[in-house]
Amino acid sequence: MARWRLGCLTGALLFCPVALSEVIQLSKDNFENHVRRTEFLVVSYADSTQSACEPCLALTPELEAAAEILSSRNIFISTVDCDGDAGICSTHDVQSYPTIRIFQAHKRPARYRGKQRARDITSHMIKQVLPLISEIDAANIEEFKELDTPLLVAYLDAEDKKNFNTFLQVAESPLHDSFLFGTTTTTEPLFQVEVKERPFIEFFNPVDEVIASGLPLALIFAFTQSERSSLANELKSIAMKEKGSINFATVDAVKLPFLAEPLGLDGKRYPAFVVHDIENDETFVFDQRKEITRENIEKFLKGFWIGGEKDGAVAEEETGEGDAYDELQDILVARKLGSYNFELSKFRLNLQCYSEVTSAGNTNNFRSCSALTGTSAVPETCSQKELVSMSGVNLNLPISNQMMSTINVRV
Amino acid sequence: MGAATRVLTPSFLLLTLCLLPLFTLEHVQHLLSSLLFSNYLSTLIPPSTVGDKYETKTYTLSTNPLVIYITNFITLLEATQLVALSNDNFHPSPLYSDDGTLSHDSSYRSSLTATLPLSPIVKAVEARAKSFSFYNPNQEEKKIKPLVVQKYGLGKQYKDHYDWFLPHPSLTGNIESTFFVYISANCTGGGTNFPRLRLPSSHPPSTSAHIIPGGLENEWCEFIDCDRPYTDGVTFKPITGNAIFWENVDENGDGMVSTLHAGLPVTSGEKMGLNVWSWRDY
Repeated sequence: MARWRLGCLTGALLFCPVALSEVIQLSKDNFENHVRRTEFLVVSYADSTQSACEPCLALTPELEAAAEILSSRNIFISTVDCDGDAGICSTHDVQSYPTIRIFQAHKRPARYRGKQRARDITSHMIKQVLPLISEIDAANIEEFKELDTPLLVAYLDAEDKKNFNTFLQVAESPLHDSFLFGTTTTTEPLFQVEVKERPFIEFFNPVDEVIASGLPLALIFAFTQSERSSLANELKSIAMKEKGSINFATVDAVKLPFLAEPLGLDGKRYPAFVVHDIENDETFVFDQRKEITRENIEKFLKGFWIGGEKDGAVAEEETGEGDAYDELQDILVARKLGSYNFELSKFRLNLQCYSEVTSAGNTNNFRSCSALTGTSAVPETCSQKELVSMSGVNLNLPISNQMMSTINVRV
Repeated sequence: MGAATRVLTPSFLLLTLCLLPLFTLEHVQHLLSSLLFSNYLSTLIPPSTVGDKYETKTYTLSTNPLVIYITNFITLLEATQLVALSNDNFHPSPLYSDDGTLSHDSSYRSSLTATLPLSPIVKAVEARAKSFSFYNPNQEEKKIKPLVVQKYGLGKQYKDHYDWFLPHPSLTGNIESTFFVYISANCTGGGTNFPRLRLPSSHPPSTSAHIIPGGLENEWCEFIDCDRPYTDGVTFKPITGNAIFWENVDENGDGMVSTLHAGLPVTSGEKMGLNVWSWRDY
């Protein structure tokens, strides 16, 4: 609110626009001042005048959207026009546009290297301002889920200092970059499963939501981000139509090469399209020699169980870009591992272990553990080193350093 | 001593450039070549001072595909000379199809290309390329295609492409390796992007931001544009005199898809790059 008024005042006394943009334009005259006065400032360096910088144009509405959400948390977004204010940009060693940096009081500026989209920028910035360990309850849990980041919640008794300290130590470790940490004293289940005993740790992984829906998962494999985006765009209308019957996701074939074999893909022929019917644990590979086009994929999907089974209701067209695409690779990368429960037919069997998937493409290293049933437990057949994936809903384990080091292995 | 030559030679060049209008092309080339040779010889001697900013150093970014970054592949003087040599020869850059035919599409490739006439500087650059042990590990005689310079003005780019060709009956061989040398890099944008390469981390990168100067900055950020999103792969900054070397084909002679690369649009200024392509006959 205060900023809004400030914006009107600095609006050169012309007039106060009705819908004032939340994004502040900075120049050499006010840059230093702004950085000094703002606790968290996201600066986007762009070239507004040139058609040569298409990504700059695409970023503008994303920044507006992010700014609207972030301003309530006292995180502000500003832009510098490197065409008009080349001086600032060269001083800050900006080589290309759009470049996003984060200025924080009493700290060196940091580069933002996430995706240049509102959702990612927002999520990244909120993580910066969250405390090391957040208090979580039924009221704010949804907010945390939406941050698209794996979340560890410890159910602790209020006086349980010992376990809290252990949890704190983990939260202080580099693990903090990849996970959110929270404690709760609530007795109500925050997720699906009832918590009967304390201490207890629940692990929420956004990617599980995709899998746990039970819907078939259509995966688009491609090497580059631009290939994935253009294929996602190509298939968007299908994804909209199949919303509620098939989930769509893109997969980074460079980062997750070992997914190819279990899904029956030829790992040398990308892009590829495959549908995994999670319930029946069957995979359907679209002929990898064919081109992935809307027409071809439509025909392909009609070919089996999907055809005719929809109730005929046309899914509403959504304007939100990428809504239909839960980007699997993002979440998986955040976990520094790549797996989802494609080898197990039921998600309840949610603990898997794999030999270390270290060498990219070495599918021989990939193996699942002996079948696990019911509630999860760390299987004895797996050494801790081998436990690189816990895509489980529950970690029904006492909080101990040993358990924490198990998590550490994964990061 | 090395420093002294370096201080002197640019003034020679200035003098040469001032006198340019007075000479015919042959004269100029002759004059340039005599200069170049002396300069080339001086750079062959390793600099005595450790950490000399003009030192030629190599850094391996990836072993499969082999991608090596070379600082000071050529001197700044040589870079200026190559720019001068190419400036009269520019034509719109062609696109190559797998059967070896050429076409043009400015929305895909909008740069200008100059094929350099055989001259002492060209020979010097070829010799420089051959001098690197990684260029020719088997010590066999390798063919080098005529050197070409690409010029990227404002907004100019070359979208994702490979330097190698798919097998085709009319094709007698393939482009085995590439040196891409920045001979002029007074620009923003214009990075050379390899979307399928990943930056080796000298420390585990945090989620999506890391600290600038000092701190946790990756050592590669001197040469690589570390402001690009992680999902974009690796983008080399255009730095005059430096070069990127990569192998295009595997041991069977098949093109490697991991070598996909692009010349990103120049957003201000101008970029010029020299290609040294080695050719392997089948």
